[in-house]
Amino acid sequence: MKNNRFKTFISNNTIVPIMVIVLVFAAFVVPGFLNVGNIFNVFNQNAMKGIMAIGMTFLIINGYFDMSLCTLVGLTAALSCGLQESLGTVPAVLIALLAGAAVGLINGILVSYVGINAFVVTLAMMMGCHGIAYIYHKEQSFVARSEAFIHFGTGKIGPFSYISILFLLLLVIGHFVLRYTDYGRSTYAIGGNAAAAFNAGINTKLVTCMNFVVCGFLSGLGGVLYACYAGASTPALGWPDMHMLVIAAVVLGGTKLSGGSGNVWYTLGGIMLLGIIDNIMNLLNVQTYVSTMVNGLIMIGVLCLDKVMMAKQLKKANLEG
Amino acid sequence: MSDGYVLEMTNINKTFPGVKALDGAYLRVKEGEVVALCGENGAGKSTLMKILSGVYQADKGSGEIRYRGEQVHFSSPVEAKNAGIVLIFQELSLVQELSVAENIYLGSLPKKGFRVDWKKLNDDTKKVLEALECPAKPEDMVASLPIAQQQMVEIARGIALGARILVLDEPTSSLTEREKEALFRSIRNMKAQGVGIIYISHKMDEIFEISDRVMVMRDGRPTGDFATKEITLDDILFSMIGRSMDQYFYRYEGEPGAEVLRVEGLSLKGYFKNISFRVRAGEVVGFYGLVGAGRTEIMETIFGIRKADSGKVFLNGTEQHIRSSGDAVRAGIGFLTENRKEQGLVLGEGCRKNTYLAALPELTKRGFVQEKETHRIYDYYRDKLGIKSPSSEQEVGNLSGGNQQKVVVGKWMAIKPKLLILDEPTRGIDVNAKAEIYKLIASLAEEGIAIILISSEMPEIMGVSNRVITMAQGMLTGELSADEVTEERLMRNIMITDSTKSA
Repeated sequence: MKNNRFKTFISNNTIVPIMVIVLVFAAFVVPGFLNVGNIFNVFNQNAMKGIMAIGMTFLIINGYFDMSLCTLVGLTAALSCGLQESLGTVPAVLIALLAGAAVGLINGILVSYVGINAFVVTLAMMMGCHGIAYIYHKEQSFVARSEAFIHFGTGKIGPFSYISILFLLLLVIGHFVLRYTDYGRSTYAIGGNAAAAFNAGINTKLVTCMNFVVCGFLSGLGGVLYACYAGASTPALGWPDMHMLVIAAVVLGGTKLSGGSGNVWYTLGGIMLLGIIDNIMNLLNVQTYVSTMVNGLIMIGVLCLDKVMMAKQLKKANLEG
Repeated sequence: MSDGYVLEMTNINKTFPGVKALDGAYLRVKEGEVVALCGENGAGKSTLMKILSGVYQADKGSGEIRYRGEQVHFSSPVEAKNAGIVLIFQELSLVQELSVAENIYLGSLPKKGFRVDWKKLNDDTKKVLEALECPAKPEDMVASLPIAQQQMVEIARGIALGARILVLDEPTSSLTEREKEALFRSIRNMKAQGVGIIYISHKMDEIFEISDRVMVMRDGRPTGDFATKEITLDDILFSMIGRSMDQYFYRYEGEPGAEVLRVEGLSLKGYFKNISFRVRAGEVVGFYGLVGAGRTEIMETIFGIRKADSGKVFLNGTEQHIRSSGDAVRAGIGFLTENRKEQGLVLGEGCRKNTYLAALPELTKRGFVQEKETHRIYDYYRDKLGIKSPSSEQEVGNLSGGNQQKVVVGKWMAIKPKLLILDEPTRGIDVNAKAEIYKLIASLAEEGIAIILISSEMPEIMGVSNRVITMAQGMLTGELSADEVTEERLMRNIMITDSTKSA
C-alpha cells in the first residue's frame, strides 16, 4: 500500500524524479553547484518569474494562457520607475499594479464576454503593451529614485530575498485559493469542462475573466519586482520570450495546458527545474543559446514521460472497471 | 387544477427563425410518476426540455409552466436547478479532471466559512453513491472511471441536488445490463419518494419496463399520450412516425457465398481471449454482448488499430498481417465506428470530401486529387444511399444523424470493401432513419459484402442478422442462427461467465 502510494505520487509528480536526477547529476559533475548558497541563489533569482507563473497557473488551469505577459512586465516596470519622481513611490507602484490588472481585465473581457480567441487577444495585447512601453520610455531606461524601492528588490532576510519571501507567501495563498475556495474549484471545473461547469450554475465568464485579471496583476507585479531588483526599467524587459518561459515552467511542472488540472506546487517545481538548469549551464560556462535549447529538450522529454505515465494509468483504470 | 401534478406544461410554442420547433406541446408529470418522452430526433423533445430548464424561453403568450401548483418561469438552468428540476443530458457533462465528489456537488460545494469542506463533501458523496450501488469512491478522479460509472455519477448528482423533477435523457446508452438494473432500482426508489421523472429514450423495452405513461411527439406536436399498461410497441411507433411499421427491420435472406473473413484464436490480454469465427459473403453476422464484453476491441484488432497478442486473421483465405488502419483499408475492410462524430466524420467538411476520405489513395494521381472523379463518386453514393443534403459541399456537421451515418457508409462503400464492420450503426438516429439503415445493410449484403454488425439493441440484432455471435467478458459464448435466436437465449449467453471474472 505504501509502495503504491509512492508510485502514485511519482506518477502524479513527474517533476520530482526529474529534479532528483538533475540535482544528483549536477552535484557530481558541476563544480560549485552543490552548496547551500548557490541553491538559495537559484531560488531568489527565479522568484519574480515564479510570481508571474502563479498567475499563469490560474489561467492555464482555467484552460487559457496569456502571451501579453512578456511586454506587460516592461510596461509595469516602466510605470513603477518612471512615475516615482512625479507622483512618489507608492502611487507609482500602485498605478503599475493597476495597469497590470487592467490589461488582464481587458484580456478577460475580450476573451470571456466578447468571445474572441485567447491566443489572438493576448497576442494583440502583447503588441499593444510593447508599443506603449516603448512610447513611454522613449527608448531610454528609467532609473528608480526611491531607496525603499531598490531596497525591497535587493534586501534579504537570512538567505531569502524579500521577493522570494513574497513568492512563498503567494504560493501558499495561491494553493489555498485553488484548493479551498469556490473560485478555485470553479477554475478547475471550467478548465476541465466549461459546459459542465456552466450547467452546474458556475458563472464561467466571470471566473475566466477574473483569472485573466489574476494573471495580469501578477505579471504586472513581476514587472515591478524586476524593476526593484534592477533598480531601473528598460523597455526591452521581458521581450521577447518571458511569457514562453513562464508558460514553460507551469507546463513543465505538470499543469496541463488543456486545463482542468495542476497546482502551484507543480509550478514551483517547474520554475526551480528551469532555474537549476540555467544555473548549471552558467556554472559550466555554456552559451545561453545552448541552455535555451537544453530547456526545450528537457520540456519535450518531461511531457513525453507524462503522456506515457498517463496512458498507463488510464489502461489500468479500464481494466479494473 | 393540481390533481397531483407536480409539473404541468401546457400549450407551449417555440419558434426559431424559419422553424416552428414546438406547436402546442404539453407535458404533465405527477408526483412519483415516470413519464417516457418519445419521438424522433427533431420531434421537439429536447426543445421542450430546454424550455422546462430555462435554457430557452417559450414564445410570448404561448402557454404556461406550472410547477408544484405555481406558475413558474425559469430564465436560466441554474434557477430551474435550484427549484429542483434537474436535467441529466445524454452527453456526459462531467469534469474529467475532478473527483467524483466534486462533480456531484459542482456549483454547490459544502463550505465551512469560505473554505470548501472536503470531509463533508466526501462523506455526503459516499452516502449517495452507496444508495445507487455505485462502486466508485468519492475521491476517484472521474477520468479514471469506466464510462458506465461516470454515468452513475451524473445520476448521483441529480439525487444529491434533491431533485423533484428529474429529466433523464437516454441514460442507459452506455450502461451494462446490470448497471441498468441498478439505475432502474434507483429510479423506482426516487419514484417512491415522490420524484417525478421524465425519461427520454429510444429504447422501447426500457420504456415499457420503467414508465407509467408515454408521451409521444412528432414535428413539435403532441401525437400520443398513453398509459403504458394499455398500449403496445406499435401504438408508440405509429404515433412517432405517423404511419404503420409493417416493415421496420430488413434482412437479406439469400444464400451466403464464400468465406470472406476467418479469425482464429485471436487474443489480446485484458480485452478478449481465443476468439475464432467466420463471416461469409452476403452474410450479416451480429455481435451481441454487454458493454465492455470486448466486441469493439476485437473489431479494432481486425482493423489494425490494436495489436493482438496471438491469433490469425484470414481474408478470402489468405492470412493477413494488418498493422494499421491503412493496411486494413487496402485489404478491403471498412469499419464504421461506434462514434461517428468523433471517429467517423470530419464534421466541418462537406459531404463529398467525407465520402472520398478513405478512398483517397485511389483517387490521387501524382499527388493530386482527381476532383472530377470525387464528384462522380459522391453523386453515385448519394443516389445509392439516399443521402439528403442541400449540396455536395454542405458541412456534414449540419446534417441529421441518419444522413451523417449514410455519409459514413458511403465513405466505406467507396473503397469497395469485402468486409464491412458496423459498430452501433443506428445509435442516436431516429426511427425512420433506422429503417433506412436496415434496408441499406440488407442491400449491401445482397451485393456480396460480408457484414459484421455490433449492436446493443436486442430487437435490432435479432431483426437484421443472419447469425448472432454472443460474447461475455472477452470470450465467445455462443452462436445462434436467425431461426434459433430468442431474447432469452441471447440474455443467457451474454451473462454466462459473470462469476468467473477474468479475461
